Amino acid sequence: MLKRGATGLLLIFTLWAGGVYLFQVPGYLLPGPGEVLERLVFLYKNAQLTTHIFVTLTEIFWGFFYGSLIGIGVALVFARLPILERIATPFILLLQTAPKIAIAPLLLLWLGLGPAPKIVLVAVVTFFPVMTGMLTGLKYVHKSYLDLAKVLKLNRWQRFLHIELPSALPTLFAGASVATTLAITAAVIGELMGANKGLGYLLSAGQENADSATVMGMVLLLSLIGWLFYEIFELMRRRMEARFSDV
Amino acid sequence: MIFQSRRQPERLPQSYIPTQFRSLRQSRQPATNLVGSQLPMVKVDIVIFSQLSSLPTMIQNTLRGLDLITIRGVTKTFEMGKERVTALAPIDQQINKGQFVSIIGPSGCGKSTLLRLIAGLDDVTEGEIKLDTKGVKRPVGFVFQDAVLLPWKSVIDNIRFPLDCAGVKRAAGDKRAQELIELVGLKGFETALPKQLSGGMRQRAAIARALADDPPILLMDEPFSAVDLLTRETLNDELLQIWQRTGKTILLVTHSVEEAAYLGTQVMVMTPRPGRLKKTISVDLPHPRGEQTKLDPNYHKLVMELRQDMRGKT
Amino acid sequence: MLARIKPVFEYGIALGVLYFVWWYASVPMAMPKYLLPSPGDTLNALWTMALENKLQPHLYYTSQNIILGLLIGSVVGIALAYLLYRLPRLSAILDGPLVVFQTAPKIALAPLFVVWFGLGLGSKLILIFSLVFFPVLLGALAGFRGIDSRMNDLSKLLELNIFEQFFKIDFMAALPGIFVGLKIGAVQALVGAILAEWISGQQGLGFLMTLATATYKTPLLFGAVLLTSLFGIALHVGITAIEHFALSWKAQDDQ
Ligand SMILES: Nc1ncnc2c1ncn2[C@@H]1O[C@H](COP(=O)(O)OP(=O)(O)OP(=O)(O)O)[C@@H](O)[C@H]1O
Ligand SMILES: [Mg+2]
Repeated sequence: MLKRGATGLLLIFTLWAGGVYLFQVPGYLLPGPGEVLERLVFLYKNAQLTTHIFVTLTEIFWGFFYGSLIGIGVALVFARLPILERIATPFILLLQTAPKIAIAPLLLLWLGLGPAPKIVLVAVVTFFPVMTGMLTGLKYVHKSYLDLAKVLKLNRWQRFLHIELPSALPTLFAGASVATTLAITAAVIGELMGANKGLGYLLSAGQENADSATVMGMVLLLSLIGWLFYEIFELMRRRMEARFSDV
Repeated sequence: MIFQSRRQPERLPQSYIPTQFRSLRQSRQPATNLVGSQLPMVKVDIVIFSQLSSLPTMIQNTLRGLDLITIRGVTKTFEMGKERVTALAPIDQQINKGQFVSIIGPSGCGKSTLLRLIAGLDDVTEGEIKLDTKGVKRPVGFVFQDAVLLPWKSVIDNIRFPLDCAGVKRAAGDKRAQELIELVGLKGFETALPKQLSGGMRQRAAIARALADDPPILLMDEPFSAVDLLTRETLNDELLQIWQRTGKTILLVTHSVEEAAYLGTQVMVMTPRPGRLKKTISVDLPHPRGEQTKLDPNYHKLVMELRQDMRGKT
Repeated sequence: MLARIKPVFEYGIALGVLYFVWWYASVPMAMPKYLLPSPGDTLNALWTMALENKLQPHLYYTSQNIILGLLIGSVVGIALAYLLYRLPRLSAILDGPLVVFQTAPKIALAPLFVVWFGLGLGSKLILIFSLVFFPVLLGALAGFRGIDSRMNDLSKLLELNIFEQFFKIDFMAALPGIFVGLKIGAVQALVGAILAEWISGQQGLGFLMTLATATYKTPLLFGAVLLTSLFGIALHVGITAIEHFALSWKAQDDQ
C-alpha cells in the first residue's frame, strides 16, 4: 500500500511536471512542481509556513483525540448497556446522516476564529466512524469465542479484556482510518470558513489573490498529511487484523 | 417444439423419419443398453482404455463416427506464480452420443478441470477437444456445484436467461421455460426468487437453465453435493428421467461411487498427481434404473470395484 | 406493518426531542438571540423567505447541482471501476495514483477549480464530481471484484459480449457495492455543493449561510443549516429506499 502510494505519487508528479512543461500551461492556471516548491520555500521563509502547518496539525490532533475518546467511550457504554444504545440509535443515525460540516458556520459563530471551532468540527466528524467501528467489533464477537469465555468461566472484565477488546481492535482501526480523511477535510473546511492561521487560511488567502502556486502548495501539503495519516492508520489496522481478526 | 427445430434443424418431425429408424430415434437410450436390457444376465464389462486404442484402426474409426466428444492428448497445466501445476496428464477419451458418463476420482485429480476444458471455460495446454455438434450455436450446458442462479431474477427469468441472451422472443422463451419448470418439478415456483428456494430446488432450476436452449451436451460438476441425501436420491432419479426423455449426452462429476454407478452408462475413473484417466468402465445395468437397481448384485459388484479403483489398487 | 411504522415513529420521537432541547435552550434558558435563535424565529425566517419565493431558487439550485454531480460522478465512477476490473494491467498502473487521490482532501482543490472553471456552475459540478467519484469508484470496484467467478463462467458459457455481460450480470451483481459507495458519495455531494457555494456563488443553501452570516441574520443562518441537514437526511433516506427496492432479491443474511 505504502509502495503503491509512493509510486502513484511519483507518477502524478511526472505527469504534472511533464504536462505543464510540454503544453506550456501558464502559471496562473497550473503552476509546475518547481514553481510550487519555490512558493512553499518562500512561504517558509517569509510567512511562517511552519506555524501554519503546526496550527492545522494541532487542530487535527486534538479534534481526532477528543472525537475518538468520546467515540470509544460511547461505544463501551452502549456495549454494556444495550438499552441505552436502543434509545440513542435514532439520534445517532439522524446526526450521522446529517452533513456535519453544515454546522461549521454555527461553530464559527459560537466559538470565534480561533482553533476551537475547528477542533470541535474535527471531533464531530471523527466521532461517528470511530464509535461505529468500536461498537461493531464489540458486538460481533465470533460466537465460538463467547462460548469459550463461558466454558472458561471468565468474568465480565476478563471477557472484555481478552475477548471483546481484541475482537474490536480491527474494526476500531478501520473506523479510525476512515476518520483520518474526514478529520483533515473538516479542519480545512473550518479554516476556510474563517481563520487567521492554518493551511486552510493560506489556501483561502491564495484563492483571494488568485495565487495558484500557493493554492497548489497547500493542496500538496494537505494531501501529504492526509496520505501519511491514512497510511499510518491503515498499517495499524492491518496489524490488528492480522493479529486479532480471527477472534 | 419451436426450439428444437430452431436450434437443431437436423431434428426432423417424426413423420419425416423412415420407420425403421424411428424406433432408434425414439428410444434415446444408447444402443448398448438396449442390448444389455434384453440379456437375462448383465455382465459388468470393463474396458481399459488403452486396450481400445490397440484395436484395429478401422474399428476405431467406425467407433469414432458415433463420437460426440473427442478428447485427444489433452493436458492442462496451471501457472501459480513461478510454480507450474500439472492438473491433467495427457488424456484421450471418446464419448458417444447419448451416453451418461460419470466421472469419479479423488479430490484434486482434475475432474473439474476436464469439465471446464470441454465446456470451453478454460483453454487446453496441449491436445484438442472436438465436439461433433455442427450447427449448434451453444453446444454445452453446465451445472455448477452450487446453482449460481442470478439472485435478482425469478426462477422463470433465470431459466429463460440463456434464451433471452440468444435473442429468442419473450413468448417463445416463456413457453420453453414453462416446459422446463414442469420437467424439473418446480411448478408453482415460477416467480419465486432464488433466496426463497431450498438448495435442492435451486439446483433443479440450475439444471433447467442448463437445458434451456437445448444443448446436446450437459456437463455437471458435483451438482448434488450441496443437497441432503434424500433430496439427492430424488434428484438422481429425476436426472435419469430427464436424460431418457431428452436424449442428452451427460457428463457428471461426483464423489459418490454409488451415484456414479447408479446413473452412468460409463464411469471414468481418474487418479491424481498428475490427474489422469485410469480406466473407463461401461456399466451394463438395465434401464430404466430405480430401487431395484440398488438391489442388483451387479450394482454392488460395480460399486466395490469402483471403490477399489479409487483407492489406487489396480 | 408495525415493523414499518416503528422506525418512522422512533425517528419522529428523536426529532421531537432534539427540537425540544433546542427550544428549551433558546426560550426558557434565554440564550442570546444572535447566538441561538429560537425554533420559532428560525422557522419564521424561512417561512417569510419562502412566502416571497426567495427560498425556493436556492433550494432548487443546490439540489440540481447535487443531483447532476451525483449522476455524473456515479456513471463515470462505475465505468472506470469496470474498466479497472476488466483490465488488470490498467489497474496495476492506476492503483497508486488512485490511492493518493482518494486520501487527498479534495475540497482543498476547490479554489483551484474556481480558477480553472470560473465562478459558475462548472467549478461547482467539478468539485461535487470529484467528491462523488472516488467513493463510487471504490464501492463499485469492490463490488465487481467480489463477483463470484462462476458468474463469469456463466457469461462465457452463454457467449455474452462485454456489454451484455455488464448490463445483464456484472452491474447487478456489483450493485450492493455500488450502493455502499453511492451512500457515501451522496453525503459528499452535499458537502461539496455547500462548500462550493461558500467559496463562490450567488445562489444555493451554502450561499444563504454566508449571506446570513455577513448580514448577522442568525435565524436565517440556523434555517439554512437546518434545511441542509434535512436535505442530507432526505438524500440518505431516498437512496436507502432505492437500495432497498433494487436489492430486494438479496438474501437477508448477507444484506
Ligand atoms: N485456476 C487454477 N489455478 C491453479 N491451479 C488449479 C486451478 N484449478 C485447478 N487447479 C489445480 O488443478 C488440480 C485439479 O483441480 P480440479 O479442480 O480439476 O480437481 P477436482 O478433481 O475437481 O477436485 P475436487 O474433487 O476437489 O473438486 C488441482 O491440483 C488444483 O490445485
Ligand atoms: Mg472439482
